[in-house]
Amino acid sequence: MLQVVDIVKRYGGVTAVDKVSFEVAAGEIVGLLGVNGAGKTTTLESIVGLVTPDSGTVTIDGHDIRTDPQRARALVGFAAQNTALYPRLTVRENLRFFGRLTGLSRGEADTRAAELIELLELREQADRLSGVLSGGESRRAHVGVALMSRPRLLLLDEATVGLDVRTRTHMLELVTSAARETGAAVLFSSHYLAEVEAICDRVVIIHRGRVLTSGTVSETISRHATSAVEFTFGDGTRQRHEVADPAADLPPLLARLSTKGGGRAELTSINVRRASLETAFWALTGEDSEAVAEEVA
Amino acid sequence: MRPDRLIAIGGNEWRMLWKDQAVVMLLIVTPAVMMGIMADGLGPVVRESFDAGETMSGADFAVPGFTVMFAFFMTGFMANGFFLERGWGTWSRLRASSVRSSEVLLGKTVPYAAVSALQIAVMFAFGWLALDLHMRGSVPALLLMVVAVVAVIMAVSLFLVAFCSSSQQISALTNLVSVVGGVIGGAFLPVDALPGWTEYVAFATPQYWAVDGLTGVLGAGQGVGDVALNAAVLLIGAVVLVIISARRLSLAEQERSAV
Repeated sequence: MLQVVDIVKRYGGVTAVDKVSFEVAAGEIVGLLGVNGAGKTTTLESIVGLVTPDSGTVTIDGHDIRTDPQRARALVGFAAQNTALYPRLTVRENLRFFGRLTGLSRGEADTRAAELIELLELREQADRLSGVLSGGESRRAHVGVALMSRPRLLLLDEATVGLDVRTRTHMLELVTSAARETGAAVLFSSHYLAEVEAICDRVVIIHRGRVLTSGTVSETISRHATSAVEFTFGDGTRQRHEVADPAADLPPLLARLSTKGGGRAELTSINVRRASLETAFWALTGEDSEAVAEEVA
Repeated sequence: MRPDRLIAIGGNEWRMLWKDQAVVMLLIVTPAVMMGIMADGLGPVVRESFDAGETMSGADFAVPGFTVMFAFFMTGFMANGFFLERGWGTWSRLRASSVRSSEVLLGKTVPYAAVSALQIAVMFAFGWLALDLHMRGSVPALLLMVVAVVAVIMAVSLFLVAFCSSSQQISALTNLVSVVGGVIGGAFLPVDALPGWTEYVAFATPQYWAVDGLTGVLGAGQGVGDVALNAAVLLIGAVVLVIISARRLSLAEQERSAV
């Protein structure tokens, strides 16, 4: 459904996106991961044509976003990082308006808006002005707008920011059902690695504008993540041990620690990090290594 | 262009405009009060300033004059209507949709044009019912002038959209265009009653051609042929402004997508 091939975007001397390539198939959810400034938003904006890449191509169901933007965009539901709603219109009016722009008739837009208001649990807020909504309510309405046309490609940039745990779970279910039940291709950019691990089929990790790795979640974890046990002592020092199986390897480590004994400050905490998308992410981007002063055992 | 999208964009703009009470206050209530206060006092000035002044009332000048002066405040509402979209993030949302820029531009402009035409109609009806406004000229001439005035207001609005980079700039330029342009253009007092130098500058303001044409039709009984020059100047000015604005907007759009 979506093909991104070698897109490059430079801002002056800074290369924000550097030969980024990936694909998203129909019915698939792909997580786009990266730290702030990694190039996620520029990539998403290049896909919908808000940003024109210096080189490379983006095609949506065969339609090039540069040469055939209307047909390409007609297939897309895009929820940008910042919420985008008319504050002087109600939630229902916002949904209906953007629905009408995607070609829904008045009746279809009314029906779909009512359906999304139920799905997004916005019943109480439906006829309130969008300008008076809380952050979480705005975010839900904002994502609702992207879902109005039942898009074949759904682009979500930090769609769960500001949502409470329950609403976030609900939102993730909604995204999952868009892919599984309606066959939409979903590109899901998020800072919450656990939720990406939970719902995404594949991940693309970008760092400083380049794709570091892409693959299924399990492939990414097995290739790049390791489990580790971290001991913190009363004097602030830490010891990190990479282990294959934390449950089996922790007791011998503790035993070794007690036999070494004398002179070391009291052990204050034990932190077990299981191999996960998060540990793979940190291993790949290297952002965490400097934050933790490690003492290699 | 798809009519369903134009209707959706226009309807959306109309809903937001309708909810903004400032539009009614500034475009209808304020000029109505000004006309009421000034109409009688302007009688002697009008009689001295116009060729057909002997048969004209103060309202024959005050009503079109204040109507035109305040109609130009619509430029600020429309320009801000575009500008606010950027702050709300909805402009990007529209750009990311399959809607064409021309559809957005036209869809958003039509409601403002309709409100401008409605404002002129309401003010003239008020002048005819409550003040001593005459309707001596031909209806086609009046319609031609109203179309030309609305067109130039829309064009000036687009010009502000194209060249302003903040709401403050839009407000400042709207006041400049409406108040200073209105006074120099003879919307507050006839140009003949202003200092001599203004006569030369007045020709450069759209208000001059608008007030002169409308006063001629309403008070002096002029027809289409008499106001053809006024309408032509306004319409040609509008076309020129639209072309300049469109080029500027197109360039800005290219720069925005490149940045």
